[in-house]
Amino acid sequence: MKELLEYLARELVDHPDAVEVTEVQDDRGLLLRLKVDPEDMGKVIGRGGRTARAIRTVVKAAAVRAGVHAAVEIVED
Amino acid sequence: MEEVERSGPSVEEALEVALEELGASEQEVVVEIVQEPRSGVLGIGAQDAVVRVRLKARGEELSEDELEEQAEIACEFLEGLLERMDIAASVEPGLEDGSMYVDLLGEGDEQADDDMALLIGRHGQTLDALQELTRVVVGRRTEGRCRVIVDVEDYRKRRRRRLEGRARDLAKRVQRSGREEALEPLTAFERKIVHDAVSGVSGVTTESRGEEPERYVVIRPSG
Repeated sequence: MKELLEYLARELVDHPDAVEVTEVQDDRGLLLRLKVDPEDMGKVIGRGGRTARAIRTVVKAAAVRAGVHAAVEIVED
Repeated sequence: MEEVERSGPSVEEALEVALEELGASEQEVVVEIVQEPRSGVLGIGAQDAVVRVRLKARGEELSEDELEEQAEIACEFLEGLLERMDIAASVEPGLEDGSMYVDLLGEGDEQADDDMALLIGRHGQTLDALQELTRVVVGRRTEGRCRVIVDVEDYRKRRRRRLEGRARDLAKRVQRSGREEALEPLTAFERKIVHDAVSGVSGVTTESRGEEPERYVVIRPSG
């Protein structure tokens, strides 16, 4: 899951080296915290949140495939 | 449909509606603000924002080479994504009626059927997400708008044909009865298919109503 999110984020941003994903396990499942360069925030969120929504949808599908529950949080560096 | 004029409580909201009707992103259009919104006093004299939005350089179609370049980028991106989702599928580009399709195909076993259904998602939601991500990735690496249509085992093509047929039948009914008819809630991509299919039927027009994800298309008599 972590690897997938890192891959997606790196394909979308101008500063792939700044992409960082940390996994946190809480009582509701896996929380993936995505950190990108402040300049890239707009790229991973997209107009009206479209890109962020797409990232979440794809990660959720992968989570279903893996039989886990996963959520994505995008945080500023 | 190359130009639309739409209104909304703010310029941003009016633009959002117009872009959706055109099936375009902000970079692909020229925006003219026809009227700034005014809040008025106690609602008196208030007016909506009105924007006119035109598709940029529609005449300039992409060459076959450019389409192939876009397809190559899309295939590479999607292959990397499938690998990380642990899904075995082939990614096949193909030119059809001037559109570049990139089709994801399962290997035909039971696991593959489940995986392909997962990639399509409920009402095609996951497929739309793959489309959106591909659009951004291709847009970043090439000039011009992304023309690649991502599909999973021809889901879009089949659905498109069905939807076009249904929209035209309904449009003819509106033409005869003079009464408006609504389709069920659809995604932005599917609404665009309906707008396009009905634009060829005289005496009727289409508009989208409602809020996402319950936004739907109404076909009504024009004029």
